[in-house]
Amino acid sequence: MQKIVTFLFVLSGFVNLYAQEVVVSGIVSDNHGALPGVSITVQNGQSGVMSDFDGSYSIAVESGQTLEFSFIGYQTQQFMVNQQTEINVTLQPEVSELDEVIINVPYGTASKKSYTGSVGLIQAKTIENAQVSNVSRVLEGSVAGVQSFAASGQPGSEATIRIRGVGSVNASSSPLYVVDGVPYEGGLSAIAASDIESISVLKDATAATLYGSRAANGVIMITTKQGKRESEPQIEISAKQGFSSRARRDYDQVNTNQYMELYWEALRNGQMDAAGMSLSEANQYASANLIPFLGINPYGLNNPEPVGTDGKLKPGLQPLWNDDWVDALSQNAQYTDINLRVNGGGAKTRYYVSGGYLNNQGAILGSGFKRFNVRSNIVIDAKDWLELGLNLSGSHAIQDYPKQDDSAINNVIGFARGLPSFYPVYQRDLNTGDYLTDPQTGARMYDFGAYRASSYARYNLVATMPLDKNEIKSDIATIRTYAQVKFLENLKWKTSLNVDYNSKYTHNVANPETGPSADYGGSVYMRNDRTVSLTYNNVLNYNWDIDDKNAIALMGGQEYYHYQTNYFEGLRQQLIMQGYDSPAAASRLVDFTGKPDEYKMLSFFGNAQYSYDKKYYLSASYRRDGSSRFSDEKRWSDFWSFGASWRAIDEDFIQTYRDKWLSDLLLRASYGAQGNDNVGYYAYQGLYDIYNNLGESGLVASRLATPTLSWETNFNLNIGLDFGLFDNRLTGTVEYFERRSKDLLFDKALSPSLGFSSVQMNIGGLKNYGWEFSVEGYPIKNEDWILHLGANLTTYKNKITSLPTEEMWSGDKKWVKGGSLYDFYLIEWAGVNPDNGNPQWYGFDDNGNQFITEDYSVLGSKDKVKSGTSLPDITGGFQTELGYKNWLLSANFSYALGGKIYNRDKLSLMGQSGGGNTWSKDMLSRWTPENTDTDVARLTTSPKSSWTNSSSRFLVDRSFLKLKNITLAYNLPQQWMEKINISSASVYFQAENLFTWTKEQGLDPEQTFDGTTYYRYPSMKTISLGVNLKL
Amino acid sequence: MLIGFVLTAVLLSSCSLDTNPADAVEEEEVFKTTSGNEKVLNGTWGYLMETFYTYANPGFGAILRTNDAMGSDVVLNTRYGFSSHYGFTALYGKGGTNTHSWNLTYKTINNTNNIIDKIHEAIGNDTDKKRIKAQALALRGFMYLHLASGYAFAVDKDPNAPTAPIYLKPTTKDSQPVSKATVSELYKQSVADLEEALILIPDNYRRDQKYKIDKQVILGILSRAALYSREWEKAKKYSDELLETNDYLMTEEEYKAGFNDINNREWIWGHPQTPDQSDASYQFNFLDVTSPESYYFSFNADPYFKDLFDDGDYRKSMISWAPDPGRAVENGNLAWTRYAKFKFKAGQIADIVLMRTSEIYLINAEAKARLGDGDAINKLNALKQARHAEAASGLAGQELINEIWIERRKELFGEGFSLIDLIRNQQSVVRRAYPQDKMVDYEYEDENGVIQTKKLLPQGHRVLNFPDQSEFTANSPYYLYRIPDVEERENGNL
Repeated sequence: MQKIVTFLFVLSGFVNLYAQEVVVSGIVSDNHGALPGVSITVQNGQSGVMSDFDGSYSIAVESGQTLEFSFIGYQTQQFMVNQQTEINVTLQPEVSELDEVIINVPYGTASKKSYTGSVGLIQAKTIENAQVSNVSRVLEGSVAGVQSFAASGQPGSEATIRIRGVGSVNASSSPLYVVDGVPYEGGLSAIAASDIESISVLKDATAATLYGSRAANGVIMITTKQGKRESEPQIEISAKQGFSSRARRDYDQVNTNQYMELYWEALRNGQMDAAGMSLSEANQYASANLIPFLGINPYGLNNPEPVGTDGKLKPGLQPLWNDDWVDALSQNAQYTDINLRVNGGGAKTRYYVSGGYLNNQGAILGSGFKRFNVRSNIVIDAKDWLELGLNLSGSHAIQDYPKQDDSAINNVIGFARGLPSFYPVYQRDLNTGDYLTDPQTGARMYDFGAYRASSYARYNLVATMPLDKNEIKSDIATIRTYAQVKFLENLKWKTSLNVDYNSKYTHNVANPETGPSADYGGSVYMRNDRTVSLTYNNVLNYNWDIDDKNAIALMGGQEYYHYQTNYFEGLRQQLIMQGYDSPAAASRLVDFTGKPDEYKMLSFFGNAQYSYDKKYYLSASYRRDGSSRFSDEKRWSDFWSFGASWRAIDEDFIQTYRDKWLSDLLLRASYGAQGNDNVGYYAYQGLYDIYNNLGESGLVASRLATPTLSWETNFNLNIGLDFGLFDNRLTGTVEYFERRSKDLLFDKALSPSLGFSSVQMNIGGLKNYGWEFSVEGYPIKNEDWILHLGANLTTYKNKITSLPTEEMWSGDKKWVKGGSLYDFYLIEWAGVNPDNGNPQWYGFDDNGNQFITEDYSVLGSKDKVKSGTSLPDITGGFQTELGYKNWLLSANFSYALGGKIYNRDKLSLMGQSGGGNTWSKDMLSRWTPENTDTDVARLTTSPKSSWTNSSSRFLVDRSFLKLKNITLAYNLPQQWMEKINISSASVYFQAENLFTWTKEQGLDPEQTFDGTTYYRYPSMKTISLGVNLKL
Repeated sequence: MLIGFVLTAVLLSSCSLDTNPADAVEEEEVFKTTSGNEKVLNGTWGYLMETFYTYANPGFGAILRTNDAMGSDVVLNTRYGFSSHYGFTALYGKGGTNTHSWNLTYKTINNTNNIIDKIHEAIGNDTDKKRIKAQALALRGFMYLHLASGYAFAVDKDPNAPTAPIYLKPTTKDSQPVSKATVSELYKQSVADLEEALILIPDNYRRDQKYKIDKQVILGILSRAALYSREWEKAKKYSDELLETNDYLMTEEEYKAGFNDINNREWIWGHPQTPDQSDASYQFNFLDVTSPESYYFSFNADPYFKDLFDDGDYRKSMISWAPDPGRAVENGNLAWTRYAKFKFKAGQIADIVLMRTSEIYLINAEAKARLGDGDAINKLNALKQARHAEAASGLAGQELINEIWIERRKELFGEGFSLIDLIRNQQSVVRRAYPQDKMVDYEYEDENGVIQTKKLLPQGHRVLNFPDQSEFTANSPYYLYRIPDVEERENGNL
């Protein structure tokens, strides 16, 4: 289009043509062909022409003069004229995309070229490449300083995102999401990735201050696609189809034969320990009780004592079955994503309309996510002075969410891991191992294992999950409306009213006929959560270019935010029969409850920007917030920031470098304060919870009054340098950040004997600081080949600067001044005693002398020592892209170096006593009189102190490198497409989470900051083929 | 445009930033009336009885179940729940029950302190004030009794043993934790609270639900507190007083009905369960060893326990060898001694027993035996007769006391007294191995209705010494609750 507009210009350009000594002519082109509208001027002369529609030009010039060919978006070229009459020029596009980048900032936009703050940007292309059901996952490894942890691989679940670490201890540390300029509450899983134009991550105070207290943890601004004025409707279709499976194999377990011998040993040792038996008595006991205690004999009833009194499996015995429960609870998962988008515009309107369907099944039985979404973004220029905008989006999602997050028996992850191979999935003939079949149907019958020794007795999720239901349906509607009035060209008022509506409907059914739920006739649980958030704001913008060099921009506004949420839920038991799943079909009311909550905030804000000569930029922001969470007298607080940037590249004294290798240089710095009030809705009152009892009203003390509780404040310092080298073929950013938090909102532990476990206080200070580096470049870029490399790296440290008491505890972390929130303080593991195989730990006596003990019970907090930190030293990502003609191969990696994880998942496989619970392969190296040099304790059913007691033994390295995404795309040649009236088409192959390199087998190392893992839905690997069409 | 400005102005002037929770009440509102105070009493009771720490720690019942798991007569299987208590590592290792007990107890104490401190200023009539204050005092006394009897050895072993803090005033944000009081001070506080409650409780108060504290309950807890603190005169006096108003002992039919119904006339105090309030019922998953839906079948009896009963005693007929209920017998070859005392009601709910008349008989007998009162044996025999056991005769002194203690084990099996009795009487846990050389015969009906006999491997006591492999002894630290780590860390005055 630009080409056409400039062509019109060209026609008028011919007027300037007049005769001279030499007339030079030629054709100007770029890589794709003729380039019209290129301005060709004689240097130091007055004359100039433009290339015509065919790219040809003709100009009179004196010999020895220089011709300059320039065109916006292309590198300028110069040629000395030496009698030649024909000069053909191929202009190269400017590599620097940085120059054109417009970023979204609060209540407006800014050019990245001069922006004083720290911002990370992700463009539509990257987002589309990431094949995930939730946009939050895209951020991982893409932007320096942003940590994204997929807390669960459950399709449709959100990643945990932290910008520059954790600024708060107790208050929320989640960033603020802003969609199309307005804070958004709908949940990122409701937004289709293909609808997103860009994501800006605001990391420092400069702009974030304008969102005041809501932006204490940074801001993620999502801008959806818009139509363009005066453009034909363009239709885009994209479709992707693939399949998913577990990204990493689960922890390895011992096989049936190994289990039998190990458990025999545990029983034998246990009887010697707890019942004082002699070795021979205990040997006999173990052989006789082994199978009775496990409940089933996988070697057939003819071998009642498969392990002899020598502790060895009798020769030649093979289990009659060997069932893999992890497999049995997995499914073939499909991935389908289809989107249709139409955009265009007329003289007065612009539109973007889209619709999509996503079906992302989980690798775990009974899990998945389906989403239908529509969006309509419309802008109307109603009058010269009035612009109206309406963005509507709606989504309907169905998530199948089996229990997966705690130690409950029906946790599908725990269940699959917790059942050993000798407990069969289907009922077996106990003599032959053959499947038993239903005499009527001939089908196999599920084995519910009432005989199982572990807590998993009577359950068989393979049988019941298809009959039960764990479903969450979400309906999300987002309405963004605004009117912008132009009083003067440079004075605008924008008023906007925005509503996010979110309804979540949970429906869980335990079937009435099969499995343990049959005992109470099955049950149906329903819950509805309804959330409405309203944001109403008014913003006045004024721009004043005082003269050529001085410019001022002022902004002021007000915002009111009102968040309402409520839920009700009920549970009924005794469903009438299989297949009925509504409360109407259940006869016994067990529970019905619900409640609303409310949160309000009123704010006033302003911003001033000044620029001088387009080289020096200053900005200042202010916001005043009143929050309903605090008491009247502590309700209001002020936030502010200052920023400055300097476009050094435009200074005269840099001219010499600019001509050679330096193509961009920008320095910037900012400092500011933001607040955090996110500590529960009613954070000042002394409260008694309603606790009804046996049909009568009841109350119980729940919260100590804290009338002086107030805002937590974060002070953010950011110093950054942006540079571009070699015509911006290599660009990069270096930043230092420091985030000081004071008056931390904190649950201070109390002596439990006071009747409260904690009280909320503003105490202590915290410092998060670190460096961020990101570089990207095009080492190869020619007609056929293009190689694009990018990398980012963040070093992040956390330091406690003040505390009200010498030390404080938070689970297995101890906080001391000068330490970090993330320091593990654990009992130090002292190895297995080689003499008796008992676990040992280090403790300290009253004089501070270290001792070794086998009795864990004598150890307490004072014996815990710093055992490592859960924070990785370095985190980041790489992006690579290799293009050859129509082919494009891209790969994105994320990585972390250093830091520890306390692996509680693995612990569940490492008990000393067995008893029908699964055992990790590691247990094969347990202590025995023959194997004394080991770090796995002796097996026994009656350990004096269990070796799985929390200690430094179970900390593992969290370093990893992960191939997040690899894509091979092929753009079908234009010529083919034109014949079938398609303007462009591409096909591609994608794989997500293809490889993970890390030390600990079975562990997904990508975990939250606190570094403790416990029953987690494993991450998934998805491989798919896709096609994109533009009509 | 104008509309926008007007809208803004209206909004800004009208919006209040006050919000209030819908599931909690502000402290100032709570204690304004007597009925507000009563709601705190009621909520506190619900909290005490129904709060889970883990599934193995359902409310205050977890403490009762612990007392049996750590005694001589219950054989725990290896399933989820109380097997670490049975092995003496749960309390000593400061596990979940240890934390749960501390938190529940002091949370209850603080709530009752609020009522005791504030009710005199509440709007309402005097009778209600007295009654509610009496109930709060009795509940507090019950809690201090738990601390005195579970956190220290017998009061006569070391009366001045520092045990646990005493708080008598409501906690505010400026409150400081206090130091440990001695075991005698704790017993004294418990008895004082209960005696004050006894004075305050109106004679004509008729409770509408059996979990509420009335004069009988106060007398009952007082009898217990006096017995545990070795004040025999008081124990005799209060238990006499109680038996004067209620001496009903249940019938065989009632005894065999499952110990799950608060309407049982012998129950003085209990905690009822309803379909919509049934968390405490989870205890029956451990207690019930004969219903298939119980899952855990944990609280089996020592095979030798059966020998303590006379042949005519109907309690004996409730004890038998059996594999796990609901399990295919062909494949099940372990037998446990099942005492069919506790059974779920339909819908997997069951009321929790807290006090029965038979306990008061036994307190009365024990106190009188200590005092050399000849009525002691009459009270013991009244109970024995009700159970169709042979009457004791010719017993006196320590022999009589021993007989009463054995009767306590038989009568109160599974109701939460074993460990407390061992501690207060400075006795040792006694567990004997049961030989496995003889299989036991188990008769059952197969699917064709034919009676079959299956040989099963018998299971008796499995843990026969302390975790450090030392012999069971009296006054072992393995018997006691311990101060949780958090308290030691946060309470500088401890």
